[in-house]
Amino acid sequence: MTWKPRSRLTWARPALAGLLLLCALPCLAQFPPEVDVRGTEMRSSLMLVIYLCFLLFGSVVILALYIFCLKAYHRLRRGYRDERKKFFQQGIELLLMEEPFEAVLAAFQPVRPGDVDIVQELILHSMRFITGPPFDILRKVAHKLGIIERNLKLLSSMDRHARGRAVENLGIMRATQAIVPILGMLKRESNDIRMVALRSLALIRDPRALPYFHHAAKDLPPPLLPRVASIMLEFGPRANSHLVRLVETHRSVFPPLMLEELLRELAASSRRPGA
Amino acid sequence: MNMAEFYQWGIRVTEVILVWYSFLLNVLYLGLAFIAFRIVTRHCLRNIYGGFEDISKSPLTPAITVLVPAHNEAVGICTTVNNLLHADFMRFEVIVINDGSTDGTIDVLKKTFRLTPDKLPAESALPTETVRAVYHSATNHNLIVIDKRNGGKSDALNAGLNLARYPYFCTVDADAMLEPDALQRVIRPVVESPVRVIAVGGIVRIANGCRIEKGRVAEVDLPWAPLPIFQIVEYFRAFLCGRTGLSHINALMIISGAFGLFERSLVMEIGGYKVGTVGEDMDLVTRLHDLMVKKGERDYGIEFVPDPVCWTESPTSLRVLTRQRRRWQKGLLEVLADHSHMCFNIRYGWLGMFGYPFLLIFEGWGILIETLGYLVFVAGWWIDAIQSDFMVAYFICAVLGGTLLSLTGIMLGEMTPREYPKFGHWFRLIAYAIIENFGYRQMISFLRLAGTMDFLMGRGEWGRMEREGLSRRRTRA
Repeated sequence: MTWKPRSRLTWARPALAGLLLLCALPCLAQFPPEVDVRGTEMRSSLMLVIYLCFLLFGSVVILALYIFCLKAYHRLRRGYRDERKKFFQQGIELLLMEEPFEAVLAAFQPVRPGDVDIVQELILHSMRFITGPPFDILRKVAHKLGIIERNLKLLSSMDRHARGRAVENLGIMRATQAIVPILGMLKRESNDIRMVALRSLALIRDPRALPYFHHAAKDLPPPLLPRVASIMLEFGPRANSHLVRLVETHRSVFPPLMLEELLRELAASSRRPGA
Repeated sequence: MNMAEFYQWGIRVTEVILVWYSFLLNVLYLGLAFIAFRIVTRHCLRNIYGGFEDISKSPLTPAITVLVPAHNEAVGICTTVNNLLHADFMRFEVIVINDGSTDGTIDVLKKTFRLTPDKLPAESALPTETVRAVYHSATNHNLIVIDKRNGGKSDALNAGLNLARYPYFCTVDADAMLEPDALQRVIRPVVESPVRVIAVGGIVRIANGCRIEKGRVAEVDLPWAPLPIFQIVEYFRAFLCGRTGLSHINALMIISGAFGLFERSLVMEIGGYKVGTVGEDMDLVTRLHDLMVKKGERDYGIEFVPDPVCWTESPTSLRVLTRQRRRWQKGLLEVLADHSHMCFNIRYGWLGMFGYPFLLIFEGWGILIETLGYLVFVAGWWIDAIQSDFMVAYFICAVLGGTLLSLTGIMLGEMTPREYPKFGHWFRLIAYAIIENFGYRQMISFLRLAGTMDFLMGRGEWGRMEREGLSRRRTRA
């Protein structure tokens, strides 16, 4: 039996429901008609209105406070992170100035707790736009700082969003060591995380992952298959034969216009050098 | 039982009905708000990863035709079209339909986009008013302009549909501004959903007060006039609480005409937009539901994206607001009347068992109960059948219920991108969420009642929406 990670929220929901019920108990205790709340003359409508007033007033106050706390927290967090990002930005500048690896690594060294998160964000953002040797240096930095390791650990997190983020991060970092764990995720995750995992595999661009796209396609709902094909196109000409196989197996899923577009793309990619 | 006792008994019975009606209404809305909270939270967390940038770049992502019906929109049409032409999407075309404008809209378009006349289509799948000319732009290959005789918004959209080439089309109001990634965001459910998504709606935000640069919202801000702020709170509540909740159970019946994406083949199958109705957007969505159920296709979705995708100008004068709300109410009742077979019809699933009855009872005819409530409470208090303390308690309860719902909408708005950045904005929004219960809501109820009367008497039409043009200045509406 495969272990399927569960969200922490699974336990939070019954706990919340229990808490609400607990809050409602005093109200319910008053509600039998034989109990007359002072001044209501046993009129259920008036009793209901009075109880609701208390309940709603409490909710309004709590929600208003929550909005302000949320807002304040977001502002503080954003401000702090922006400030720290500026501090680590010099690492990117050193990288672009082709400074030695050690200098770049030193610039990215986390100082305060929480800095790893900020460095990771900065590196991932830069990796979207950088190619060639600077990209490899950034990947090496990520490896040295334990960012890749951290994301690999997060692949088995209880929180599905943490797993989703980690799998995407590993794809952006083109972490080849993540291929096997990501392939494992294709078997047990929900559809949306599976799609993110497939995209990550496409970003890593290891053609050995291509046959696994067929296995994943078998378990996915048909409307998602064009998206799978679209992700496979990222592999370039190496994916052509696999794409043809996917389309042949699930021909009814692809509308004629899309098929036309796909064939055009396949023809174009097979003409590219190195195909 | 003498007459006085009979009145008292009648008022007591009505009081109980009203209290339970408003209790049920608030419970259902709060239930929807709770569902919406979960959906929006999940959506925002999901947005952090699995980005959608590659969707627009993929050759397999369906292309989109953007339809812009324009009637006397010379003031802002060029800004809107420019904004659309710079959308961050790979394959799309923009079709502007000049619906018999008399203010020189077509001349402005001809001059700005160097339009050259093209051949008229040989045949049209949907009947429309006479098309005078079709133009192509010399500067933008994906811009087409149709010049036709006035026939109303639905007719203009049908004319655009006749010329549309792509499998999905998106309707955008001529005074609206899209976020650069709006098309990516609305097509996302189509390509990523495990079921066939036939229509997608997005949240429409009010741009009054925002700083507009080059047809884009550069800085989110609140206007100073109270009327648009009341509407901002109302939009948050309606879009983020109501529509998100209803879309989760596939019972969404309204996709705003200001911004919505539809599968073209299905819309052609149902004969396009219905001409002569004021609620053409809602009518289309309802007929799409109808079509899918009649075809026996249960696995379909009409989705709502809680991301802000479209900005529009809200009415700043009472006169325009009055016309708008009366029109909305009349349109709603027309559509509900046309599709009465859906009510409590299990074949339509959640739509038949919840969505339609909910709209019918609370949004459509509920206004009569609300009005009755105001009358009965005043009458009851006058003849001493209702105690003053009960009236006060009921009023406080209604205010708190409304405020709670508005606050939920505001909180969900804070969670989505392009939130109001300053603390001051949030103080004001929360203050307006409370203040709206003392006058604004009653006014809207009155306007809805007037719209109901329009429907019953068969009067009312589109009317004219006066625009200041958002790009001209920073609106201190």
